[in-house]
Amino acid sequence: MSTLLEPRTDAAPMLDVERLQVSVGDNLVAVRDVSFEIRKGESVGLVGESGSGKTLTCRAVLGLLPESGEVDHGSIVLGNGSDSVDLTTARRGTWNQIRGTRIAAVFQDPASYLNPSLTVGHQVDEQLRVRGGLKRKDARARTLELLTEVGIHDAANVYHQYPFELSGGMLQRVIIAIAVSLNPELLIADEATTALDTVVQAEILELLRRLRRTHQLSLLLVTHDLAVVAETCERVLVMYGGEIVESGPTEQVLGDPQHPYTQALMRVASIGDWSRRTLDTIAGQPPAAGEELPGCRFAPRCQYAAPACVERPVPLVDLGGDRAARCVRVGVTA
Amino acid sequence: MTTVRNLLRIPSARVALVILGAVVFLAIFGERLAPHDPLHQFPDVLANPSGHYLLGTDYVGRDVLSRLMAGTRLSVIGALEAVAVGLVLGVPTGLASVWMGRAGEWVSLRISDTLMILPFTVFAIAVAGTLGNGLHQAMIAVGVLTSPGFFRITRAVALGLRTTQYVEAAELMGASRWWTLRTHIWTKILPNVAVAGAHAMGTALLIVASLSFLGLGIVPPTPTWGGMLSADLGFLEQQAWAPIFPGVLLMLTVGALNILADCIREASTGQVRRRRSLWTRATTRRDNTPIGVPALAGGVVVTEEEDQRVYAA
Amino acid sequence: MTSTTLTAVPVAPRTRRDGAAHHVLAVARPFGRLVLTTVTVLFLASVVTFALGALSKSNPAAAVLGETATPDDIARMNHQFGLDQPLVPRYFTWLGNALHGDLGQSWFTTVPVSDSIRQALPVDLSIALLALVLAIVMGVAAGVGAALREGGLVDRAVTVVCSIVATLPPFVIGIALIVLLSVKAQLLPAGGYVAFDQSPTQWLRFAIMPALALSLEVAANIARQLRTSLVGALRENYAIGAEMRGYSRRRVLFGHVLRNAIAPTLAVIGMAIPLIIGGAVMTEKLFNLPGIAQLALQSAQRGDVPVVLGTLLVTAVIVLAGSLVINALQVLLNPAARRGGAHGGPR
Repeated sequence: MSTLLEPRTDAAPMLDVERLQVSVGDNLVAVRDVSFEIRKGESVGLVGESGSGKTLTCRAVLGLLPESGEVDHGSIVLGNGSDSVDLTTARRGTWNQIRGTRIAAVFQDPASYLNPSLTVGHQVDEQLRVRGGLKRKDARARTLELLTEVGIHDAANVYHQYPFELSGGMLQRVIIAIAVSLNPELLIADEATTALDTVVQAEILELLRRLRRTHQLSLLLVTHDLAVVAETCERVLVMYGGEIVESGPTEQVLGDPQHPYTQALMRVASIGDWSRRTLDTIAGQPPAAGEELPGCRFAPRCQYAAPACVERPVPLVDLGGDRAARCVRVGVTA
Repeated sequence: MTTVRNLLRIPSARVALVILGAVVFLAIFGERLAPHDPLHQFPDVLANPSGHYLLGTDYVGRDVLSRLMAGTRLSVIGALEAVAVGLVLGVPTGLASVWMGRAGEWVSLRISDTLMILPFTVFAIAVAGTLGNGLHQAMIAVGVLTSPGFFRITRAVALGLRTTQYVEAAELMGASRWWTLRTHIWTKILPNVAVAGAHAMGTALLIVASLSFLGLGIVPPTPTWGGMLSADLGFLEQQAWAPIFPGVLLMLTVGALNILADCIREASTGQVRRRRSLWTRATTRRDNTPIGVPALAGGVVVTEEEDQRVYAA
Repeated sequence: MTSTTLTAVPVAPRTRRDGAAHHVLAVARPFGRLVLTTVTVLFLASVVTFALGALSKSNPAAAVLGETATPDDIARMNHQFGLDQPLVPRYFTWLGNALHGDLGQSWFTTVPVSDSIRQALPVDLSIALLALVLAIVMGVAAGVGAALREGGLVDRAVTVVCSIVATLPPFVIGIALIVLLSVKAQLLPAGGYVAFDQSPTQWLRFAIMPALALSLEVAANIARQLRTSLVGALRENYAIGAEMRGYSRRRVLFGHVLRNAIAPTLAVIGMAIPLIIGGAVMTEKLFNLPGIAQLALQSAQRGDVPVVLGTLLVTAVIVLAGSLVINALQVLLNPAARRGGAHGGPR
């Protein structure tokens, strides 16, 4: 493992999410009491199955909650010192200053995130001109540089192409080029490689790793795929039913999972060990948004569930060494 | 049938149906129930509403209420005739075009294009000038120009259905074309045609009114809403409020038809997504297409592409 | 055609396009199809027009002389206007002449129909053009204004006005304008016409009110369609993507969304052309304009079949020309079609 994947606990938090609660629809709580921080230059994975609240969490950070969603309480502070902003109270004007220059995002289905009737070159140019203040000619030269940097070989040709003329992998590269063009502090990749085929997925992940180094990016990687996290992230946050159930350095969490849900996920994923690959599933259904359970939200599916689990809320137990897990058993076994 | 039941469950649909029911009632019994002879000229010209003339009299002293009631029949029948002609010409050809082969399809589409570029009023004038002036000529002319709308809707739904797997499967299993049509396609096409028909009816009512203004279709002194409206507008100086009566009647009927169309669409898709107030229904369509655009016309006049606006396929 | 999931498309080796020549060829295909369609529709329109004349039971002698026409008169005048020939050759003669700009003679005045139309046409074309411009300006302004703040005051006002316009017969709007602007405010003449080449300012004084009356319905349609497309497009991922890059609402709307919302709006404008030409009949009567619709109406009332047919055909050609322009614009605006239409392109 390279030194890059070593956790850097010394750096100051660049993004600090405190006790965030997001609800959708008729006050259905979908993200509850989520706290985490991302330090400068760090890459953090946010893992969970669909409906776990991971996408809503990242949308809250981006200020892109759906119309029915809103932040009930909590804070999302970007930066520290004089340039820190609480994003939960940011207005459109503030967002327009932050997005693109301090926070950038890459999503699933890259084809839909580019304007279908503008050439991709135009769209990279636009970002450099409008947000970066570059002149038309300079912008164009920089665009070609950026396209080359994200691994597009015939950048001069691709510059003039429309999104429908390019493959998904190429489009994701273009979107990444736009995202990193103004050297943001934080890049959020929400299932950015999910829809791509395996080879392209690996290439894009490699690209993200490389860009993190060259652009000093902090990365929040939202995915359901533990393998992606294992390859890319220094720290991992595991979400279940709207809560963070386990967090810590990737190697430790995946190597020695403390929460039964993480353990179950590891069994299902069987990273790197094809001989162990079975068609394991986690029995039962995750709780729906807004479903109130008095105790642990994983208890109904947990093989170790005991009466203590369902009586009262289970707190997140600090295990030291930057690790934490939300399970009644960890205090005992630790 | 479930569509009809669903429809009756929507409050706005019931309001629209009550209004339309009242219009139908007037169309049938209006002339008999009218307090006066709609053609009788009283000496009180341009009288204000009073106990004797409930809505006043017009410029030659005819009772406005009686004329409104008696005029309902011809206004409605004219529009009905136009829509009926449009349906008869448009729906069967729309269905047939799907199974006609490429050349047949192309020709039928071009015919529909041709009818779509002819403006209603100019064509109605030409028909009056060549085939004679009368309600039937005018309404058949309007009906012919309405048919491309029905043609396109029917065709679009049938086309969408033809390529769905269950119809393909039925054909593969040796179902006859007629059987396929009856069992699978009617249930889908009928609601769409009903939606288009309600809109076309509203449009036709407005066209009948416009033609009366031009002196085409029904000629004075026979009362129609449009004829009364255009006549009243000539006496605004004396009776500024007079056009309100036929105008409101016309707007209510057209509005009710638009609301009904919206409700049929909702009922046939079976998804009552959220409560839409009477007002939102009256001002916006479910698919948000403009109400003013001839409800049926699809796409730019001459298009290669099929009309994508299939409501409930 | 609607959903092209590009993720599934493998990176195919692409042939290098070699400059302008390739480009022209790629555009030629959709345009060729457009021309073929237009010519066919034109032919069919001429058939419909001619068929109306052929189905007509009136003849020049009966129309001109009325009850007093003798069988002799009828035969003589039928011969004079070539009505004694069989239908098919008569159609082709008529079509051939029409293509050369000869639409026959009036039964009453024997004035060439094309002369009468040529006199009346500038009135219609100038007013229709003004109406179209007014409609686009008002419609786009209202549509964009409404979409800027969905559910806001402007949005609701636009919706209300549009739905009222949609349930009124168009002549009511014209009369309302006359009452407001001529009778009450005494700002504009209530009727009459001065040609543009005589005095552009006078022309505008006479043309503005009919044009306004014609444009309101179309403006309402444009506003509604544009609002709908814009509001829909603002929820599309590419708009969210643009927002994520920190662009102002204005830039997202005008730089990104408007471009894609324009195609359905163009379609509405295409449909507006027959609406405006058809509405011209109303405004010409209302404002007493010496236009082509007045000509048609007067000729229809006295049974002057050649003039009626001529006006119908010319109207059809004008509408067709308009929709040809709109369709050509659609093709040009669609990058997929511009590149030969091999891919889906923007919706």
